[in-house]
Amino acid sequence: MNGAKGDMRTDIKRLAIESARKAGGILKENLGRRKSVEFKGAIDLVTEVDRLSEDFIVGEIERAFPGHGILAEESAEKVKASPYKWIIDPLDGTTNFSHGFPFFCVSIAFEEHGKVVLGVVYDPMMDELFTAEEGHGAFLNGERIRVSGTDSLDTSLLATGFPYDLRSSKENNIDHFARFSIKAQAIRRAGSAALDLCYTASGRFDGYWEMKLRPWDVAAGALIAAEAGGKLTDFKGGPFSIYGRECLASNGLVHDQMVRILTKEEQ
Amino acid sequence: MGVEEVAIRAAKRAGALLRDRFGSPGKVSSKGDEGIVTELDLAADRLIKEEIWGAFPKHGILSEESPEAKGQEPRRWIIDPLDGTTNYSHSFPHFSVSIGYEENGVVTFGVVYDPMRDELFTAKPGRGAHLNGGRIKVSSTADIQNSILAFDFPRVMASPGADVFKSFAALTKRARALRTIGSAALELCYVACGRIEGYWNYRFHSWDAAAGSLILKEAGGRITDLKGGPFTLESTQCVASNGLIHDAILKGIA
Repeated sequence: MNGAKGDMRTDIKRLAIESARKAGGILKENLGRRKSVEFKGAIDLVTEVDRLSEDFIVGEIERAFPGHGILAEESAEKVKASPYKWIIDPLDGTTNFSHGFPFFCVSIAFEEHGKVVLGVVYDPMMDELFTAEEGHGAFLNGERIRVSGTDSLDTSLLATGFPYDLRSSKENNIDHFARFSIKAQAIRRAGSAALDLCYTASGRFDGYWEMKLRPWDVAAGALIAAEAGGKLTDFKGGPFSIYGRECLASNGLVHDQMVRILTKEEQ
Repeated sequence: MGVEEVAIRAAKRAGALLRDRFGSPGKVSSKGDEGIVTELDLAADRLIKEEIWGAFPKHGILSEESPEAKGQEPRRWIIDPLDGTTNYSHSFPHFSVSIGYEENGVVTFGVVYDPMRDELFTAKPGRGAHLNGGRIKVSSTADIQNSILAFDFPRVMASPGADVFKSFAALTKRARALRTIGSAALELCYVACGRIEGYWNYRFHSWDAAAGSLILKEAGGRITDLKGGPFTLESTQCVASNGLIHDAILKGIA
């Protein structure tokens, strides 16, 4: 974070971590409440909890840094004449949350001049906090993490997700899933893009791919994976952008083979 | 100690061992088509057997990780010391210890323990299913489009155009979401407590099912083979659900 001054950097990092933890606490508390409502009510509750988490994080940012831009999942982007922008997913893994399936998180990224320089992802159910600052490595609960050393798809555990429009679009990842299932040791689909990226960063997954993503799904997780030594590209092996719609993340060692499968060079 | 105390103690002790060694699973060996085994599968297997035979030296034990030890009485323990070995070997925190106790061919107690989340699922016939002591029930979701489903298949069944992918494509378009998580015993428990509505598996063993199928049934769920026929511990495939969306899953697989 060379742009922002030293004190501001410290304040930004502290705010990102504290609000991710507190927002995670809001999610966890409300997961218990979920059990007492019927399905229709459960949907409303999720919308309410998503908003509660987002309003909390946005409120914290606006109080400390009123001039910063904010891009958050649940609201229209707040564009500011500032080189600083926060990118927030207050509840990544909404479907899981709505069913009480314990795999979801809060994701907060901080962007400077169009580049993410800080990423924080918090999983309240496992109490796992993933953090990264550009150029300073990636951490899980304060300990340095690295991508795995698996160098063959054959022994790789991969992760993926499927787009919301899979019923109406032919570009729905079902074909990629089938081809990877044949080549990899196994594939997991747990339902949170941000956590999938953090798990790739910490070596739990060897690679991850997903299409039709939004910036808030990947902004923090992609920096965490990159700072852990991972490689990020689009499906063709070209440059990755959080504003693009494809994400291929891996430990680097199985990356080329994953590209060959995604481009159908290798069947 | 009675059967229940021994089963719970063994599951928790094995779970604690797995949690302590999480991140360093030791040597990983291939079992061919049956996947892999780690040093920790074997260590957990030994620990559970010590517990069981310490209390009931004459009981038989059927384990995923060792040849069956037949007992002298019609009492048998069916154990999977580490369900989700692939996950464990990659440090993906989703795995469990599964212990079922059988008398005269009927499972009369089941326990599945997830040490990473400290979640203990238990059931006794006619007494309901419990998670950490609190009663659990399957979800009341009646439509497949509002359901989360999970499924597992062995890699040897994955080939271009294979049935597993046809079923997957059909059901992923009908359900709200599909998950592949990789611990059969835990997935049955997740159906039991309403976190997911349904689960199907193309290669199932008695040690995956002994405890989990009792927990599921006691929580109000239904389990059959892939065609809707009766499920027994000899079944090699299964469909498990909250009951309400069972036929919709069967239709998607057919």
